[in-house]
Amino acid sequence: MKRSLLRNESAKAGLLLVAPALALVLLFQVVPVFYTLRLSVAEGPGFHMTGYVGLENYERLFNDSKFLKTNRFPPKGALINSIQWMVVAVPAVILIGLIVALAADRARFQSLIRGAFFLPMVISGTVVGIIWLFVFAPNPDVGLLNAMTGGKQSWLGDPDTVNGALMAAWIWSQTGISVVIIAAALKGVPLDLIDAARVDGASGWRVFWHVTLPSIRIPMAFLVTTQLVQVLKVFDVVFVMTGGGPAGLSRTLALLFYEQTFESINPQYGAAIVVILSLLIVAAFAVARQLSEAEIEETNA
Amino acid sequence: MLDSRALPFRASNRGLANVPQIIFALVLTSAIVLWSLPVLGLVVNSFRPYTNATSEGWWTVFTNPVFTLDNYRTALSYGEIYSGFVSSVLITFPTTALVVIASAAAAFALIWTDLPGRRLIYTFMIALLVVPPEITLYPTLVILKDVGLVNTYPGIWMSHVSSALPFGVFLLGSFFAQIPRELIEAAKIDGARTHHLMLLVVLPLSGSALASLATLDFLWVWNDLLRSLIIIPDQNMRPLTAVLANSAGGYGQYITVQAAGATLLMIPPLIVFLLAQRAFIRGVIAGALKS
Repeated sequence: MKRSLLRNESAKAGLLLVAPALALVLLFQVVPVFYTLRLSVAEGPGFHMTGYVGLENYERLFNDSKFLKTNRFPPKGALINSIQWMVVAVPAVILIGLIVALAADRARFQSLIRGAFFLPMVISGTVVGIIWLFVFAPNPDVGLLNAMTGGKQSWLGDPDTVNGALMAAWIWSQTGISVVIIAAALKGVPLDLIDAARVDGASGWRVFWHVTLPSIRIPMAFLVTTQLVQVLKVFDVVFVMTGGGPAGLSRTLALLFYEQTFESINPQYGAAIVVILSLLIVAAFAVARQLSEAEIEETNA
Repeated sequence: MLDSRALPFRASNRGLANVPQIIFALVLTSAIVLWSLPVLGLVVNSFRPYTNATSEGWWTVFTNPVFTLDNYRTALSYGEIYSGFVSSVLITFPTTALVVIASAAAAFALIWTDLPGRRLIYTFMIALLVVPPEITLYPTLVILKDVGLVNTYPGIWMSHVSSALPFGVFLLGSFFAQIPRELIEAAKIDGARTHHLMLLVVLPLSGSALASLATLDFLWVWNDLLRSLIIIPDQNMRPLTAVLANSAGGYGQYITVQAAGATLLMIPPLIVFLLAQRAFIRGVIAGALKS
């Protein structure tokens, strides 16, 4: 009797405690996902959700040079830019993080290292953008980069350099996270394993490739996934530094979504963009999951 | 032979032990300089008179140390930056508190009560971690418009909180689950009711997880730009990120004032990070090692 009373009281309290979170999540996450899916097959433009046009918004998107422009080589557009971010910025963040974490693992002056790399990761993308607007300023009396190279290059105004410049600012801001995660993972690499490999005559590089890297692959897989997702969502830095210019050449998918939905007031079209963006993000998660599961099976085998 | 212990930086035993130590030291030193200079430039410019900042470069500060507080005076008397800062505070503090409270309540209910279906709800909450906030933004705006909460603080609070809840429940839930069952059972035998269990047993044991969540969420919300641009279209209510983002871009007349605004925007995350560095790093790593 007493037991069932407790069970009852506990269940009631549980419901009361979870209800606010559940209500918020249903209203502002679950409903919006279905709303956006429906909106992406509705007739635009304007704020109304009318009609059903099938995949017309998606077809239009793949013929829109803002999204994907394939009639010349190399192809351009927001999709290509986002892919470029994935294949250039993500490996750079991880490689630099790995080098710094290895170099810093047993270094002195830890607080100096922390200060330099961790500050950029806790400030907002807006501040990162403003900081790098100064670095890239065309006026060599303002911009550090032009002062150092002795030129008057407009790094953010030149189609050839704008994406590289934006990615540099991004890489600068993300290195800290990469260092934190890789450094923590390195601490977990068993030293006796490394010593054993050395005793067996393995060289430093071989130890690194065959012992150190395999032992940190799960945190690495996490890092790759989160970085891919972060890069797909890049908005602040681009919005602040170029607004997508010059001539829309530095637009990313997130920026195109914002422009179409809230500036051109074409939410149906914006919905199609954000659905594709979300599919890419979910794909990144799925690939990482597959990878880490395969790794775990391999380890167990 | 140079003793490697005498060098400021020594390579990891776990890494490339055959790479000369001096290379590590050089790489690390130049990386630290490279990573510090951009921030230094911003902060110096925020204290430089406009004419100096635009005619001789901030690095001349070492030979020509002229400083002024004018940029901060202008920034704080210039309505937008001041009201943006206030707005950021009014958005971030309540949101952080609400995220911690709502996540703790939900995670406790899903781990330590007899609520039927709690496993299923927990799995559902975790599954929502893959939903990118971008896909929810426009519908959130429509819903908030329908209930008259666009351009209000409760509107942006709810939007932020709902977006942070899946991570909050995941982080706290995985922590709460590590509390030994015997401890909970013992408290129950001693007559503890559900709210006692939560307030007197589970939460006091979870200080570090709660601190990690609060730190991470504070930084997310304080640093947010996109959601604020959308949920708060009113220029006068926008947080400082949105104010500065909209005025950035040109190398115009106000760059030193903008540098002051950006420095102000940087200070609270810096304080939070210095106070809660360990909580922050623990939160980031908890995500990395558990998933």
